[in-house]
Amino acid sequence: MKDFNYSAPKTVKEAISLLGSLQGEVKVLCGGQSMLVLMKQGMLAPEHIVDIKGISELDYIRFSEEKGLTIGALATHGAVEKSPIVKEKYPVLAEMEDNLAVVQTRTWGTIGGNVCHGDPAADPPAVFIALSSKYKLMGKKERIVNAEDFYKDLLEVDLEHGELLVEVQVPPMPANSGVAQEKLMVQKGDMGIVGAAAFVTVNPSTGICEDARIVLTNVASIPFRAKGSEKVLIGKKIDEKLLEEAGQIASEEVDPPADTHGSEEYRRDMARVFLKRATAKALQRAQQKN
Amino acid sequence: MGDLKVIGKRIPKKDAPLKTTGAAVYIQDMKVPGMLYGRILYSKYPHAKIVKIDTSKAEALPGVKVVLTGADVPNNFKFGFIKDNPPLKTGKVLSTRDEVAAVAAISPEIAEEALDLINIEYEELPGIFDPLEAMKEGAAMVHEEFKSNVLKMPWKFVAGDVEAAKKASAFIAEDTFSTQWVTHCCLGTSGCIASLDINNNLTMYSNTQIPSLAQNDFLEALKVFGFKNKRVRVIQCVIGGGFGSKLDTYAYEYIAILLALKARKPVKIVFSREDEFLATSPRQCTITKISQGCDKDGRLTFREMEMILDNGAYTSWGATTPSVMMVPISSLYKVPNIFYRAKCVYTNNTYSQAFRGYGNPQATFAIESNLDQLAEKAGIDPLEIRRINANEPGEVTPQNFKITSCGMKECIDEVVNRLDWKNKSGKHNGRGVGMASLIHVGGAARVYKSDGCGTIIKVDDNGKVDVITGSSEIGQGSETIISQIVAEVLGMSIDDINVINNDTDVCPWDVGAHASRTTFVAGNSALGAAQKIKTQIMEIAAKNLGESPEALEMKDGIIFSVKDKEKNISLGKVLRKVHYTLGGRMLVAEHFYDPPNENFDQNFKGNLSVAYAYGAHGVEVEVDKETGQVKILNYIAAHDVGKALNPMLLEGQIYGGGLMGIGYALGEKMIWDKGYLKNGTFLDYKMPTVQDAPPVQAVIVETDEQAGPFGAKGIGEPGLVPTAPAIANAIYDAVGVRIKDLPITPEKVLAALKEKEKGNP
Amino acid sequence: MKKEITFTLNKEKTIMEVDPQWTLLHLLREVLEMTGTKEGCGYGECGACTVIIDGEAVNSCLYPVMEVEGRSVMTIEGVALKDGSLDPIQQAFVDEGAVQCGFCIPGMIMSSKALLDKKDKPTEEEIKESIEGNLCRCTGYVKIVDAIKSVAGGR
Repeated sequence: MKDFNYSAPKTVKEAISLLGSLQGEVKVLCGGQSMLVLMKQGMLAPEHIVDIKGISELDYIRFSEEKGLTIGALATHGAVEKSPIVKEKYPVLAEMEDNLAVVQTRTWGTIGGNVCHGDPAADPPAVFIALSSKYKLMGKKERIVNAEDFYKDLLEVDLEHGELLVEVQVPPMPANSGVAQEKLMVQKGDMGIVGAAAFVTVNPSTGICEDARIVLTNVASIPFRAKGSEKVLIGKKIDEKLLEEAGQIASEEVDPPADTHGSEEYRRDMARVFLKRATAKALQRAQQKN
Repeated sequence: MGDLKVIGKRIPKKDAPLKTTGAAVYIQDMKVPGMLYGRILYSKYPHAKIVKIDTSKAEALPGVKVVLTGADVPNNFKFGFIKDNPPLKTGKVLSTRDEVAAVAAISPEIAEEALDLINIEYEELPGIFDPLEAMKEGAAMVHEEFKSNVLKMPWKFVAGDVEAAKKASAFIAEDTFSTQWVTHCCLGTSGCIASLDINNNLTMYSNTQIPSLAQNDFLEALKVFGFKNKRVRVIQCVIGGGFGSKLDTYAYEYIAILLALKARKPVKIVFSREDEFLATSPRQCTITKISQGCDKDGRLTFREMEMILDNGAYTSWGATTPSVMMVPISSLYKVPNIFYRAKCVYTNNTYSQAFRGYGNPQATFAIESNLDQLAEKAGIDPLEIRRINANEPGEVTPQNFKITSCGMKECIDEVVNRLDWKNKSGKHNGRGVGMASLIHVGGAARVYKSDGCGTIIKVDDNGKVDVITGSSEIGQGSETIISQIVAEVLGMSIDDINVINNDTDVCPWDVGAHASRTTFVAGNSALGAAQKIKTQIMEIAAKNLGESPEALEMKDGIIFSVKDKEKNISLGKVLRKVHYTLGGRMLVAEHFYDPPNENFDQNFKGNLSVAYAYGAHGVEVEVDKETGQVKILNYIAAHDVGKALNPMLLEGQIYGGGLMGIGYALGEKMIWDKGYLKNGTFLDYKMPTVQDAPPVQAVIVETDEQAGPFGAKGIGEPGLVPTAPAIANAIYDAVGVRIKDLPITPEKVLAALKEKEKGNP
Repeated sequence: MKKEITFTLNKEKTIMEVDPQWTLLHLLREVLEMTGTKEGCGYGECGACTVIIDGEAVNSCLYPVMEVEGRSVMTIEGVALKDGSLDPIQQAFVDEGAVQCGFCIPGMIMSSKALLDKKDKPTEEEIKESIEGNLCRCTGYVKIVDAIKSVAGGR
């Protein structure tokens, strides 16, 4: 790795004042399981590293019935995976973590680091978007952004100079809702050729889908919100035929890359399949709650 | 053989405590005083003229001691099987793994930084990346001086009359199969330390699988470099995986020597993982056209195979894999008429080398996939066609292989019973079963003029035994097996036996850890030496005890009279008696075992191996018809191993080979795109993890191989040979699509399912 | 610019001058010459460099050395007893035939030890999960899983 200036603030306040004052390329280190790889490969060579791993005030997972789940930026993937409250209230997050990389990465990698990396193949951003989550950013002033609006382009996120992502806010699960995530892995823990996170609410008396938020991974330069598919589902009773139609729309709307793991054509097709699978599972969960 | 005390027991590997505590010293861990760190710069293009190299900035970097380019290689030195590969290239580069410059510096970081400062001007040339293109008339020459891209190696085997047999066949199945590049993925990367003394004698710390042959290669290199009559000592560190990857010498080793010569200091080169992916030699990819026929009863009538191998830009032993491919082609099942021809073709891709199985997996994939096609045409259960044609003891195959022990039918039966074949096959409901068999050399392979290995045994004053063997421990457990053999003969505990196996200054000659030969050859060599030393011990003990040697036995370090156990003497005492007696002697025995196998004659006939290993694999799969994903539900690997000397270590070979084969079948592929490696990391090259390991049963089928040490045959390679066709056959049974191009990715399965839906075959 | 860090290494208080650019693996292997921890890839993909930090398995090749400040690190050198006798997990790897070339084994042992230290009786699924980040090319993992199982629950 190329030389860099290293600092390790102990509080958010300290970190923000430091981030505001540094000139040149600054990178926040928050577990570093992706960033260190890029730095070792020489693809990233920041002048300053601000290591926030020591800011213990950001290491939390909290839940309240009113606010829902709040995850501090420093909560590790392993902590989310094993958190009893997560397992109880948002099992989709625990399931997601079980298939996120390997134990060693989950031990040290953080939620904050992951969602700020801006990788369209990553699972947490997609699941958070499906759950209508918000990110809390601290800089000169505090900013709350929709997770969905945070992603600008490949590895580009809405973080301004001097800003730090401090918290992920996941709202309470509405009544009659279900959420699920599925991805096509060549190997357990890999990024997935295609993944889908789906959230639906279903009217318990009519069985009609009242809301749907579906996000696909690894099919565009940012997490892909399958709005066309959602539109087809909302206001109708979801059945196999409707799911197929929704999946078909997604396969046409996405703009997937072609790489060593899958062709564009295969990814389109799998967008269809995994949208269907995740949505069906979310639907089943929503109905079970009724 | 009677009552065996050590042989056949599940004895832990002798070096395991060292390896579980982190105390084992691999090349990565080795340091020599004053040593420098070498790094190699590889070509930016797959085919280009080198117009200019400017190393001045690199040389000026503080800490850099030597920078070399092709111009610094003395006397046009080239290495490799046909000496077509200079360690540093001049004039032209022929692949992206071509070495163009090298640096030695006081730290790896500085060496790395120096590489960035070497400025090379290239003039890019169009490359040839497809062997079929390279064979076309008018194709550009990879090596202009050779006048053809097809290597001058006449790989052709003919037996009987295939054309006549075709006419007489009731059923014929014909198809084309292809296989991919896969790489060894040794967890310990390649590396060496070259150290020269004041007189330019070389000590090479290495993880080679061929210490004696490497010694010879380095001696030759020194000679070309202008240093005649020098000594070369090869010392093997603990080897972090072999699988054939270290069966040749490579550019990095010669570069280390050249850097050390110029720096006058030891130089260490250890590959990074990226280097390992880029610059070690994978399994050759193949295109195989095959047809096989049978009569109305399912008896095989002929087998015809034409194969094209992508040789890459240079020639290593990989170009000789067609010789071992001939083993299954001529002799897997009873087939009277054979035609086989293979061409190795130069391209601007990476060049291939030996990899566990040495061509056998590629050939067996085509044979065993095609055999299922034939069975279907003939309306015979795939299991029955294998039983009908199975090899048997006493058979002489078309290539003149003399089959001694053969448990092929027993292996097939194990698979059938354990898979519940009768109830599970032919359902076509998304679940299916498949099987494939194998033959491989199991009693060494006479590839070189000698197939020998030497052993020296000496006994010390305290009754402990040193076994000095030419064979190499590459993780397979040869050290333990050799200890068991000697312990059994001498009636000792294996803890009292010390194996020395890593220093050419001390160890006898051996051709290397290849061809699944170590247990068989080094084992027989150790057995011979143990018997000789036992004779000496008994003679001396007999004199001391006033008995005849025949009346004595030896157990737990005590030699005693069978009739009167009170009449005894300890082994240590025997030794002390001879050492401390005037006119005394030492107790040393040596034995060189060169098996009675044959080199191929010019028609590729000859009994290549003293014995042949057999096996059958069976697998049950489930196919996801929406994604094309294949899940292995159950895997049976049954192997005829002769006598299992150590079932625990043997199972380790079967499990390890099996999962490697599953990787080969379902996921692994080096993606070379127009000469560039696209997936040279563990992130993108999908080597199986524990989560990919299916439930697997290793079934040991014992046959008594008279020529083997205590009846043993080789098992190092067979574990991955029939894996891919067994899986391909199971997928066909499950969903009716046949994937003929490895690896069987979900995308390929899905595409085939869609074609099938459209009504295309 | 060198910085001082204080941490516990195999139960001993350790003070080192380090470069912030170093990884923990660099400190262990190159500076302290504790070569039991292996480097198999350098990018957190093979697990050969696994060490236990505050009870959790991490890849030391992706671990910035500055972050060990105040923490407790255990490497393979700290697993066996001082008298050379093996930890039960090490003994199990020996006895079950889980070791071949051995290059992955220190990492395997650290990963499985991190699990066993937390859980007496892990399930097979948990055992597999504990070593899912540790690549092995020799064994097919079967005997490695068997070895961990044999220790789980005190046999």
